Amino acid sequence: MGIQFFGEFLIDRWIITRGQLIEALELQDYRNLKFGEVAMQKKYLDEKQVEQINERQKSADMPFADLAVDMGLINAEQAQEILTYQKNNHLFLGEALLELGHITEDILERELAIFKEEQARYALEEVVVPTETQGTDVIRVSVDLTRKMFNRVVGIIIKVGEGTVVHQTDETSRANYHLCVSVPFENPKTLKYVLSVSSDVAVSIASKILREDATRESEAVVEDAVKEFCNIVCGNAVAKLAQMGIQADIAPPESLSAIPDVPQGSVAVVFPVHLAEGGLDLRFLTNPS
Amino acid sequence: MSHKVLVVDDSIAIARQLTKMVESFGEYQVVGHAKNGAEAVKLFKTLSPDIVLLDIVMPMMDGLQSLRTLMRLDPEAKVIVISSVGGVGQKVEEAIRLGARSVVSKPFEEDKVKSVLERVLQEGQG
Repeated sequence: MGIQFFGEFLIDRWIITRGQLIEALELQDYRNLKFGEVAMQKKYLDEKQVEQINERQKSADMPFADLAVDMGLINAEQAQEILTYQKNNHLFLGEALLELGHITEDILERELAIFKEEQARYALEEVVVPTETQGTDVIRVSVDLTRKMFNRVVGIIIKVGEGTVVHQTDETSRANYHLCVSVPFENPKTLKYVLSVSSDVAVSIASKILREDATRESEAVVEDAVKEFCNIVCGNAVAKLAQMGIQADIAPPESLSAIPDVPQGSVAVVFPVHLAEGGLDLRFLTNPS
Repeated sequence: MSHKVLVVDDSIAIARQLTKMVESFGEYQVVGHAKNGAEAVKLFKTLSPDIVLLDIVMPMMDGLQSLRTLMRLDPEAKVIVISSVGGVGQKVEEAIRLGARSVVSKPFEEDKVKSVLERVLQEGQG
């Protein structure tokens, strides 16, 4: 399976029940206060200001704390104080289960060790991302998971080079690819994952997903399989980012007729991809930082 | 006796992959495939499946909405959520709270899918 949540892992191993997990999640919800809630407790913000920031967050691609400072509602020191408070008082799932008596300390320790070992295959490997764009962490994780999922799901080893920023799409590169799929991120909103593949790579992806030779499959089925592959890559990136404490979210994948133009004010971060046979283009549309 | 499974996923490729995998275990028969939540509710009523494999992100009536409806129709329904974001995120947590029995993450691993199906069925007997 892909990147897993510790609670799901514990249920799979018959350590806890679904009901116990729900209790622990509820305890976490109750204890792990949001930034705005801590700010209100400390009287740095009132309810109206928190609502104002939440509203602004819908259009601005920034964490709550940065927005609160940016809007001049709290200062940087106060923001840091709240973030430190949240970090020091965060109740982890294992701790919640311990507190509720649903797990013992020695079992928790043993299970955490097994869980970490299982998830180690998803440890982040080096990806060089240009720093002058937004969403660099999301890009780094998505590139790494593209590489890992091509290997694990499709059985194709790909090598990814250093990412470079480009301001327009090279016309000649468009003709080389049979299918182009994009996954728009809902958080960060400005980011789009774009994968283009040659027909043989598309058929390889479809064959692995369908568990049978997809050479004679209809175009719609092959396209659907490539979209699902991109969904798996980006979905697992969201899960990996959550493990790293970074919130991200994706919208469903979309088919594009070709590698898209770079919109006004945006840039594309292009990663050269090398593979034994076939063609593959990996890029992200984002905003400059 | 084989257990009846309803697969709910807007992706034909994923539905076919799951059908093939689940039926290869020998004790399961995929009796229907719904491409959206509304269709899932309709097929759930007519096919009375033992297990529903439900994608959480779908067009029209999404996974959570249809899960709510399914649990209202049958509070004992054995629904396993399919997720591409692992078990993380508000949607997955919400699904567990609404009554989903387990989460299966993509990419699927045969032994994990098999053990989740077995566990969910056993829980129902206990």
